[in-house]
Formats: sequence, C-alpha cells, structure tokens
Amino acid sequence: MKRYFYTLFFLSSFILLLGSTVTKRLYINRGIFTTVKNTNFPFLSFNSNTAFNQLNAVITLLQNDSLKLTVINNDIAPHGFAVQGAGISISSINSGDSVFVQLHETQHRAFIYFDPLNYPSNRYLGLAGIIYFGLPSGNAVYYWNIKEHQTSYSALLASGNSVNWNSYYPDYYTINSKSFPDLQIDSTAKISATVGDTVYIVVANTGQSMHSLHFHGFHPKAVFAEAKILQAGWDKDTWGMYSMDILVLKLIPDKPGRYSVHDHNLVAITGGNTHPNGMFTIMEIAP
Amino acid sequence: MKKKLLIVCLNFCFLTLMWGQTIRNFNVVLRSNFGSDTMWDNLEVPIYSMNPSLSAEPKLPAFVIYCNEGDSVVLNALSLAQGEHHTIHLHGLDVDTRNDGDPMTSFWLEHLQDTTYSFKATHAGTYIYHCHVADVVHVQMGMYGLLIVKAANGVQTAWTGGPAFDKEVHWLMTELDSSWHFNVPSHDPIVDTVNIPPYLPTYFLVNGKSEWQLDNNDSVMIDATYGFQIYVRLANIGFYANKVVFPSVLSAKIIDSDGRPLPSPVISDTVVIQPGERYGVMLSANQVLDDSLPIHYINMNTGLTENTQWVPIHIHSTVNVKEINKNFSIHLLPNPFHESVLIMVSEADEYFVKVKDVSGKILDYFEFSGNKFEYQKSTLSNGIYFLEVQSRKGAMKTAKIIRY
Repeated sequence: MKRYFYTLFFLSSFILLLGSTVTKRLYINRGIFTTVKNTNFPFLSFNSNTAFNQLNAVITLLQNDSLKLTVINNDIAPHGFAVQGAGISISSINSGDSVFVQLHETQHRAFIYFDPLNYPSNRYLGLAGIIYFGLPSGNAVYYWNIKEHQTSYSALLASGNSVNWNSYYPDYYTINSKSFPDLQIDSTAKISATVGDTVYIVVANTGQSMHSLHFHGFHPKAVFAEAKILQAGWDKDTWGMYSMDILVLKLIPDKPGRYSVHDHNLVAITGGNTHPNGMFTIMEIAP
Repeated sequence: MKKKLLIVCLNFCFLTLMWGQTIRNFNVVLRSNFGSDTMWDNLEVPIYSMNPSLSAEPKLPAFVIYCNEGDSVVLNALSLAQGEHHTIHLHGLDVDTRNDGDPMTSFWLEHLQDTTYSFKATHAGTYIYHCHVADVVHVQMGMYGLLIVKAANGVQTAWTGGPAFDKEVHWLMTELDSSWHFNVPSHDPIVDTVNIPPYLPTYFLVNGKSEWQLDNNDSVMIDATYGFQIYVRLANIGFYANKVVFPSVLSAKIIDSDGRPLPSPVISDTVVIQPGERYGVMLSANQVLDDSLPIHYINMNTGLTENTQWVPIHIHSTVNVKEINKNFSIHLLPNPFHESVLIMVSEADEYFVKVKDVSGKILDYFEFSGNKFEYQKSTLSNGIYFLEVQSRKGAMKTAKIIRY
C-alpha cells in the first residue's frame, strides 16, 4: 500500500515536471472597439475564435507546459506574430494564412505576444496579448492588459494612413479593453480576494504610452519582470511601466476593505476627457 | 470593585502598549480657491492648498510631514472646500480603507467638515499625501506634499539599519498647466465626474520652483562637503515622467523605492521616476564639484523630453570657505542668504572686504572692525558672489556667498 502511494507520488511529480502540451488557436480579427462612453473606433484583436472580441485572448498554462499555437490571419491585411523574449518572430502572415509556433517554459513567468508587422502600428491597433506560465498552486490569477487609445489615430492607422507619434495624445485608457466603471464587472481584471490569500496579477503594457500603476493599501512584490527598469524582487506600490513591459505581481492582502488601483498619470483616469472613466479599478478584500 | 479593577487593568494595558511609542499630530487645512504661488516669470497662479494652519501662506508643494519609523501619526484635517469635497490620501502608506482618503472607496469631507486620518509609520521611506477627490484636478491645483518617514528615532540612515548618510535632500517633481488654474475644471459631486481640458503644462517644477528659482534655493540644491554621503529622495506627483541624471563622479546608487529597500542597489547615474513613484538614491561626494544636474520632464505618451530643469550641486572641500591663508577663518550665516549675511571671523581685527562677481568684477567694498559684521545688500541680484576678506595684518581669505 505504502509502495503504491510512493509510486503515485513520484509519478505525479514527474508529470508535473514534464508538464502538459497545450494546443491553442489565435485568430487575428478586425472589428470595432466600443469605449466606456459608447464611442467607437477600429480595432484589431487576437481572439480564440473568428468572432471579434476587443479583449485579446489570454493564454494560460502551467510552468513546464508546452504550447502548440496556431495563429490564423482572419483579417484582410497581412500581419505578423511574435512572442517577446521567446525568440519567436514571424514577420508576415498573409490574409487567410496561418502559422504554427511552439513555446516551452520552465519558469513562472509571462510573455507578451504581438504583431511585429508595421511596428508599432499593428500592435497599437490592438494586436497584443498575454501568455502566462503559472504555478500549479491554484492561487487566483488576474490579467491586466493595459493600454491607451487615441480615437483619431486608430481611425487613421486602420485605413492605412500614418500618424505622428510625437503628437500622440490618447483619449481612452483601458485595462483589458475596458475602463472604469465597466472594469468592475470584468472578473479577469477585478480582484476579489480574502485576507491572507495569495493573488497573482499579470500586468502587460501593450500600449504606446508609459503607465504608472498605483496600488492603494498594499505593496505587491514583482515575482517576474521583463521591463526596462523594474526588477523581480522589488516591493512597490507604484509600478512605472514602459511600453511592452510585463510583470507578474504577487499580492497577499493583510487587511480587508476596498482599495483602488489606477494609473497615477491622473490624466489616464479619464475617458473621453471625463474623470474617472479611465484606467481605474477597485479591489475587494474580504475579512 | 470588579469594575474598578477592570478599568485599572485596561489602563495598564493601554499604557503598556503606548510605552515608548511617539504619537505625532499634524493639522492639515484643505482649501479650495485660496491663494496663489509665483512662477519663475512672476505669473501669480491660483492654487488649492494643504496648510498646517489657517494662517499659513499657501504654496507649492504643501508642507513636508516628517515622522520616524515606529511613530503613530494623526493628521487632523479640516476642509474648507467651498462647495467642493476634499480628502487626504496617504500615498504608499498602505493604510486601511477608512484612512485611505479615496472617495471612491471611503468618505470625503464637505466644506467645514473635519476628521482625522491616522496611520502607523511602519516603513521608513518617502511618501506623498494628496487630495484624492477629482484627483486629476485637485492634485494639479496643488493639493499635494511629501510625507517623509525617517528611520527609527530619526537616525541618519535611509531606513532602520540601512545605509548612513550625512546630508539629505528631497525633490518633489511635477508640472503645472496654468490654464487649468485660471479656469478650474469643475467637479460634479452628484455623478462624481469632472471633464478636463487637454493637459499642456507650461511650468516644470522641483519643490514648486523652476528655472532661476532653483539656482540658490536651499530646499532644492545639493550643497555638501567632500566625503559626504548624500541621500536624495525623488518623488513624482506630476503627470509626466522625470529623468534625473546625476554626475557620474557621484557614483549614484538607487537603494530604495516606494518606502521599501531594493533587494540589491542599482548602480545608475540615471533615475526615471514615473507619476506616483519614489526612489531613494545615495550619492558619494568623492570629488569637489560646482555643477548643475538635469531633471528631464518626459511626456508619458510621446516619450519626448518637453522640458529640462537644472538643479545646482556644490561639493566643496570645507564648509563653504576656500582657504587662502590659515591665519583666520570665516563663517557665513546664513549662506545662501536673502536679506543679510553675518560674516564671522575667528580673530578680532580690522577687515577690508571686496564683493566680487564670478568674473572677478568688484561690485561692493566695505570695512569693519571686530570679529563680526552683518552685511546687508539687497541690491545684489540673485547669484553667486565671492567675498575677498583681508585683515589689517595682511592675511586674506575668499569665501563664496549665494544670494537668493
């Protein structure tokens, strides 16, 4: 009986170490983004099926897993596909074509996948998302794909025109393509936890601007950072993120209550110039 | 009898808990539409303020709140919001929802309401306090200040048990769009929204000052002696990023951020501070230096530097006096000075004093007898000058003075 238990234990550990192979598909879709104020602009998104969703798909795996990913260009224009920091970069996928990539990761970390073609235009138009290799602990994980949008630039770029990034002035700021208060009903973004829980937050800045995320009430710790300045091991309440920075933050709330998280470039708490319709969410921590 | 015993026990427990604990109280008056501050070009800009008293003059930024690690701190807040609302958000202090000052999760103060915000200073470091009501407007209007938690017992270390320093300076950076100040975007307290115009800053501030105002400003400039360790607290309450570039000879090390030590120091002459962030940087004054260092103001959207402010840095071999002859010594108080400076010499004698500008041109001349003289010269414009002091015996010394 004891021997049977040990065999089972070693087998389980071995399987965990080997990881699983996860097969996923991403479709490049074109559609219309709807803002918190019901204004619209053209948008591109990586989705798990052919239906346009303004939220890019989050690919979640466990550390040691292998990802087999097929990317299908469902748009009328050519696109590319890259995974930052993973050595994957496919410069062009024609309309209707697909590519296949594989990614194996042994560490607890996250990647930004994106379209490198016409950089940064296609990425700015929405084509960037998160791949997360998590821990097998069962702790809650939240995903924040943070970004900003200038309506007029999106319209120009989507119709093949160029823009002057030196005069970029966004009018909408989003987490997972939503702004406050819509964010409060996004279960992938809105943190709901209990005191003492361990919560992981994967934050990726897929926009063009810098964003400085401020946590009320807590100093989460970065357990992974692929960033220009920020480093793993740092405990901070405000995380100044450059474009294409990605972090995995660990938060263990020590007190109950409601706590805001927002961009401390306070202009980014606005949407269509109205405050607080921007990058702002409220965490709920139960006793 | 039991009741009496219980009360005695409770009091004993309370006193035991409070033993050795310092409680610091600060008054903070939160005011809308009160006063103005003067920009470098003499423009008087209307501001909101957070003052320590009703009579205090409003200025940018609000007063610095100092306490030590381990202290219990109470802020007694009175709102003079004039139809608006105000709060105090304790940025980075990890307080509970009640004391967080965020109107989205907690309460706010109407006109003439008061309350207390309290917290335990658990981690030495650099923090910010600011109003969180319609924060994009109220912060821009000037409702912010630094809150500095020094190491336990106020010792000169970056944190309790951390690296020691001889001198510290703090820089709170922001920008100011004067059009917002003359036409304040109005906050709708019913639907809790505010519509804002484009943010196009016209002034770029360090501790509320810019351009020539920084030249001889005690609150900003680094003025230290050779061999000193200088601890610089950097904080950004603006809507732009700041890039501070220290002279490489100062061997800058980033040692903490947001009130927490970094696991290992980052050796870098360049420090980028995004809105709401704070960094602690240790400098080693290993070279005599008379220089300025740039603080760049970077647009968060374009990544372009839109303005650069220059902060003076003076590392001198002795305390502001360049010795030419060792027969007597000079001390100047205060230096930099505004109205007058007291010249004190170690030996009573007759002295002949020339005031020269940096090019060596003599601007003033006077004599005095004894061992001290109060030099009043309001006609000197702001800047750096040299006092050439010669005794009747022929000994001579030169000392640098700064008028602001």
